Amino acid sequence: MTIDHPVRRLLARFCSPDTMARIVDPTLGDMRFERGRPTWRGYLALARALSLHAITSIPGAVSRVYSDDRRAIPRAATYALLAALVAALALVALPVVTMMRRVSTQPVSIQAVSFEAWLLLIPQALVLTLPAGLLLAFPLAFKGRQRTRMLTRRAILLALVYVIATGALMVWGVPRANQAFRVLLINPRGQLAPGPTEMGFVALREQIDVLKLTPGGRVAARPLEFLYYTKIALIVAPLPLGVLALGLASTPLGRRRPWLIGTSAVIAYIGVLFPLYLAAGVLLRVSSVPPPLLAWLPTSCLVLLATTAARFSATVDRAAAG
Amino acid sequence: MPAPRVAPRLSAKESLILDLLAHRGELYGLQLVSASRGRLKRGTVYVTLGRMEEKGYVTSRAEDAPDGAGGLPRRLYEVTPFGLRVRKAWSALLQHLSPEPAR
Repeated sequence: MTIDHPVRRLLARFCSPDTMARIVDPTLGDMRFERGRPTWRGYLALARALSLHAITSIPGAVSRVYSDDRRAIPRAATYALLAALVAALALVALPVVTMMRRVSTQPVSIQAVSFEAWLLLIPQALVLTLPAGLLLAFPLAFKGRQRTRMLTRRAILLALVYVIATGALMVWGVPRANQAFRVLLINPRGQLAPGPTEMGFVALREQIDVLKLTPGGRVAARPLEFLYYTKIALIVAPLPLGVLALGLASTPLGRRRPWLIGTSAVIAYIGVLFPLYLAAGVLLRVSSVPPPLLAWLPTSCLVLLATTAARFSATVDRAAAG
Repeated sequence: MPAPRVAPRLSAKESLILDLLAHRGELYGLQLVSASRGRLKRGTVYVTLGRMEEKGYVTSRAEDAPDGAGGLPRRLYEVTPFGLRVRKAWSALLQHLSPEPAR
């Protein structure tokens, strides 16, 4: 077991120098002196030690993430959430105004139903605005901060937390809210079978598989398949958006006027997303392009943009460090 | 007002490690595991030792490698004077708090 051992080299990429010195190196060093014992037991001990170390380090790590860089990460999380809420309210404002005009002359009970319906639209809007909020949050929270590799890693970790939050909203929030919305508007006193948008991932997948088995079902399953992969693509969107936001924060305009660049980016993202999905929907009907490819089209464009932004951001960071 | 000082604490494992190091001198992780007769595990001993090093109860150094020998050195642990004081105070406290035998 030498310093160049592949396992050690791999762990050195992920573990801090302190963890390497205190946990990894002593355990690997011990393995050299254990003649007659199977090597896998040494690796098992190392895995247990690292797991335990990770668990016991969580409170300290959370506290460091909270307080380091003048609380840049908690600030970014708060700004992203506020931006998402404001953008979601703006998105549902139009249907609300229309609804309010129609029901303003109606009895109070109908007005109450309309308000409830408006509330039920918010989860759907949040799925789009929650990832978009990062575009405003990162330039705002990182203004005037020294951009270290650690801060970049933590920002990407925050984007991953937003992936989980968007996923949770997509899996549990949106189908229930959509179904409640439909029941409220169409049939408040009766039962209503959920449509494809109101289905969870498992039910939707089953529906697609069943449809594909029927004659001509492949064509009928295309919109459902498109919907299925669109949901997944929207869930992972915070990750490229986070990288893009880091790039925007590094631009000269992002450093000088984070509000301006952040708000413009949020509006541009939501404004471009709808036409892109509409175009993908049209292509779905008129061509035989596989639905997963079309569903991932907007997110793929985003990944391309994010890659360019990441390169730019890395160049700026290197120049600042040098 | 000065911030209140936190009294050092010793877990059962930490106490056992301090006892072993105080009696046997410098030891490395596997020696501690075998000397503890199953009370310390290989997968947890270095995590506990790392925590004790942070608290200042033990110090460590890489063992001197024989000439020409390659590979990762083992890590040897030794109790510090502060660790010895904590151990002594902890034993006294436990003795003081233990219930007296009924007359």
